[in-house]
Amino acid sequence: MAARLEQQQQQQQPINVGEVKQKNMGGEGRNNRRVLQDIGNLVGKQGHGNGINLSKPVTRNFRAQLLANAQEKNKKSSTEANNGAVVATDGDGVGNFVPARKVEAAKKTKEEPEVIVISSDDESEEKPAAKGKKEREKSARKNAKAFSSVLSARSKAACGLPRDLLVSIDATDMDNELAAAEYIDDIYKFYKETEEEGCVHDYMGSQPDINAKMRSILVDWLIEVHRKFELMPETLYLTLNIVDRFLSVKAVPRRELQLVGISSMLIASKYEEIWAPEVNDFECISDNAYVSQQVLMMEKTILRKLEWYLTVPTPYHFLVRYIKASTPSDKEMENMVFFLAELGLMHYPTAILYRPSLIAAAAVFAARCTLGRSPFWTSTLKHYTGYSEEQLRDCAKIMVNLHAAAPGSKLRAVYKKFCNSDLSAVALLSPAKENCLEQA
Amino acid sequence: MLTLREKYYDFDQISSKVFKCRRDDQFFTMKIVSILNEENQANNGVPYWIIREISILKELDHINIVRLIDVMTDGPDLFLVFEYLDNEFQADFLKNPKMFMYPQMKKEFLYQILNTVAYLHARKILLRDLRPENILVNVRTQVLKIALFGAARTFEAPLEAYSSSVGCLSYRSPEVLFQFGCEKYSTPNDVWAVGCIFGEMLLHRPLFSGPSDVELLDEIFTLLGTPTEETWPGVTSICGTCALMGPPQQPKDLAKEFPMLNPDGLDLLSKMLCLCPNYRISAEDAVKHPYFKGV
Repeated sequence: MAARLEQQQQQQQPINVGEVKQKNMGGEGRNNRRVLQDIGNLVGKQGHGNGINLSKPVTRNFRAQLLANAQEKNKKSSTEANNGAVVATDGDGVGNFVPARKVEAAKKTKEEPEVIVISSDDESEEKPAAKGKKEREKSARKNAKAFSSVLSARSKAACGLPRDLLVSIDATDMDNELAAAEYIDDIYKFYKETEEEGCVHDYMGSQPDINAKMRSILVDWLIEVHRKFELMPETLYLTLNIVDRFLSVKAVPRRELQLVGISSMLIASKYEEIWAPEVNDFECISDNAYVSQQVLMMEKTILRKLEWYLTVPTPYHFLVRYIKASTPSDKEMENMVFFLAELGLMHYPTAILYRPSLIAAAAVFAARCTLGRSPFWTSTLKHYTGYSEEQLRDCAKIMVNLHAAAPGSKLRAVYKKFCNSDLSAVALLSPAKENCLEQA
Repeated sequence: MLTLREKYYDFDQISSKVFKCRRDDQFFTMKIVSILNEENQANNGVPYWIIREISILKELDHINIVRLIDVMTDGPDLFLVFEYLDNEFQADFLKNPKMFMYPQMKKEFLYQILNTVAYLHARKILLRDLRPENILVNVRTQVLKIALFGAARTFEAPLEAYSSSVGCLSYRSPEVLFQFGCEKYSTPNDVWAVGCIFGEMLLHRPLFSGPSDVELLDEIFTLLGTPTEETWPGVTSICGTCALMGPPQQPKDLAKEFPMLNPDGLDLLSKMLCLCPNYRISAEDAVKHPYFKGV
């Protein structure tokens, strides 16, 4: 088993398994952990490149002022607009970065798009906006989306990414407090920095009584239980994270493996759900294989062994973000991504060799290949995931192979779940061709 | 593995469930939490709020958050070991008479609260139960600490539905009060609570204190005006019926209500108490507000 894993490790692009600092390794290793830096949306004096220099927070008034200045300036001098970079806003208000000459060409072929030129702060001071305060605020609300995409496009231009291909996936969320848009970059930066701590090494060598096949059987059953209880998707991903982390620090006899599974799901449910299933629900679903006292004892043992660290990034956290970056996304695409990710997590080598963000990105890549979404990997996806196609190819191939093998597998929970029309019956679709992944 | 008594000693009772204890030359505060229910049975294991509180606290490292050092189990009890805060740290910080001696001190403490909330939001944590009782201050050193994370939880973006029956009523935001069981709320909920605390610091009494949801909403609208589709897009669909909002009221002049505040302070207060959560200032932006120049 270990030899087989070693071989796979050489072929694939694993996380550095031996050096992973784990959540469950005890206190002393955690003191040097990077604490989140001071957060803020202030840009330093050097500005954003391309003429925008923000030295104060982007409030709605300031946003409106910039837009008003820009539009006034645009009316005065359209020739200036043709020299610099501009933002063409399409119908839905999402700004697309276009070099000036492309705008010229666009003007010839279709109706003139609204063009907004962003002036620097200094220019704003010189030419106060003509509009009244109320009007400015109204225009700010109307144009908030376009302006936020302008800002993100500016910062991306400064990063040297291809301007015309990059989509700001949070632009439409700027005025939706449920999307927590102002914190989203900090949150995912934090996830990326801490994900290794929740990863596990190859632990099967230290488990005398269980093997990878048994783990797959357990995961298959847990997916069914999760579905029966109608729990949230993040509960499943946290459950599997708890199971793997616990098995990596404690040898478990075969007869207690299912107990570890239900106790892990109990903990994950309490952490994630509004209404978690109760202990006796888990007793019933495991056909009374264990009494409640055993479940409660195991719950405490797991929590103690993991030192109560449950706030860990799982593939789910990255999946929702990367699906959003896979524009345009739809239900079929989303379900295909989740199908492939769950197949990957059932497969022990995939679950332990790759970090959560890579599993999520590979699932999106494999799903796009499977559904023939061209291009298979975009600049937007590369920007938001931080991975290139090359880095994802090996993991994506495993997922595609698992998809191909799913109909004939004895472990059918994931396959059955995604054959359901509620989930677009994505399991019934043909898997991606190997050469698609190679060409991508 | 060391037992509780082997690891910690010299126990001094502070309150029924809180002890001061020692380990080597360091003092700690120990909070005892029973996992038994009212019938003295541990029939559902460790309560969900303890799991959340501990796992969240384990992740945090911030000067203004009471630090969790250790978790020990002993029978049906859990022992949470926190950093020790000496007698100079007073709980329920607004009841401290020294709090109101220096205007600059209020600004300093407000800044620390907002800074902590911004830190938590950037780590996907909603506080949900921020109120003066959960805030301890040391007036001499001007350090503030937020304690008790029982109602805190992590959030995903976009946010899922979370329980709406959280938080002390007086500090509950209009979107939570309005939705009566519709559980979608987010980071602005915590900012509203900070706004209420700011108002309370200035007035020396709770800003809103209605005994029920409806009466509390009425108090809020008396001060800030009744929301309209213009000031809060979608408000009529949120509350379902305009009857909840009572007769339309005009917002009061905050400068008259808070004469002690300078224009920057009034601007910040109005932005934190903005009725529409979409337009409410974020903690991250509030920390950078001109009101805090020189803090």
